[in-house]
Amino acid sequence: MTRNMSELQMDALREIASIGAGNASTVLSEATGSEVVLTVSDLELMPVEQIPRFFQALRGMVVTVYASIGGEILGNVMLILPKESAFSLADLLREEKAGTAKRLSMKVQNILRPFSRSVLEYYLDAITKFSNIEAHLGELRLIATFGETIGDFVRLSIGEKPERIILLKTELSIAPNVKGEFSLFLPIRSAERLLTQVHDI
Amino acid sequence: MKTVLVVDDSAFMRMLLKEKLEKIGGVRVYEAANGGEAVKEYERLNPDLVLLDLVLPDISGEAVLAAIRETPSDTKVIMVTAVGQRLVMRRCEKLGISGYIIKPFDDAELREAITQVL
Repeated sequence: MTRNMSELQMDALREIASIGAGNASTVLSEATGSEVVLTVSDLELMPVEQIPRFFQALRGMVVTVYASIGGEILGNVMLILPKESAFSLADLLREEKAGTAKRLSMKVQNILRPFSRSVLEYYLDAITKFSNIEAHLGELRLIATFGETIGDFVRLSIGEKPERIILLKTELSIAPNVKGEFSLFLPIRSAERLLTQVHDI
Repeated sequence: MKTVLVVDDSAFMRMLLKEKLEKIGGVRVYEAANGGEAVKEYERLNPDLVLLDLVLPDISGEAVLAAIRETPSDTKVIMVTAVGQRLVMRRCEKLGISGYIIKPFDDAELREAITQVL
């Protein structure tokens, strides 16, 4: 599935995702007072109908904060947290005792939603600065769903229905019990636009 | 001729940094794509400067920095990473670095940091 993109181009896209996640991690760390550990980013290039396969490893209920990307590039960016991690993050942000948040109440949503917007804005801003491209986040949505259904949700929410899409994932963890991931979805044309901007490769 | 070791898991970022270093001039650039390779190359080259990424696929850039500081040498280290977390920056500063550049960086910032230490 990757025959039309060179190793260097895929590597550059992984680096772009890492730059986004690294900058977003700074906001997360400042707000929680804890270190955010990141993994190196993964990339998959796949037909849109295969997107659900990318999320098959996510088991159980997850909280997903999602926004579309508009401007010179199109796409979607997500912060995905297993339910318990989302609750732990809400507790950290509210400086509450661990285990205080037990359900996705309005109170918890009202903490997670604006904070996640800020985190995802930092993610995208770093990418736009690196690529000198104009792009902005659309309306932010917070959903609680079963992990394996996120792929269907993403597939349906992609507006322009490209044939193939780039998925970039960076895992994060905050000790002792927050785990999650940043996911960036780019239609192939937007990925190519980014690559042309960062370096002519 | 000064020796610079660029440590980054991204071949693309290594290429960018190498291009920028060569524009500055007077340097011979070597590369490492992971922490293990970085430590080996450091021991082999004893470079004047290491440009060191933090998030690497095997051991972290911070562990590489600690390994470098365990050896007696004058090697300068500049962290070049997207991670700008204060907790991490402070730990790196304690271990001994000459700069901390946050990606995405601009050319002038990188040039200034490098020319100051070389």
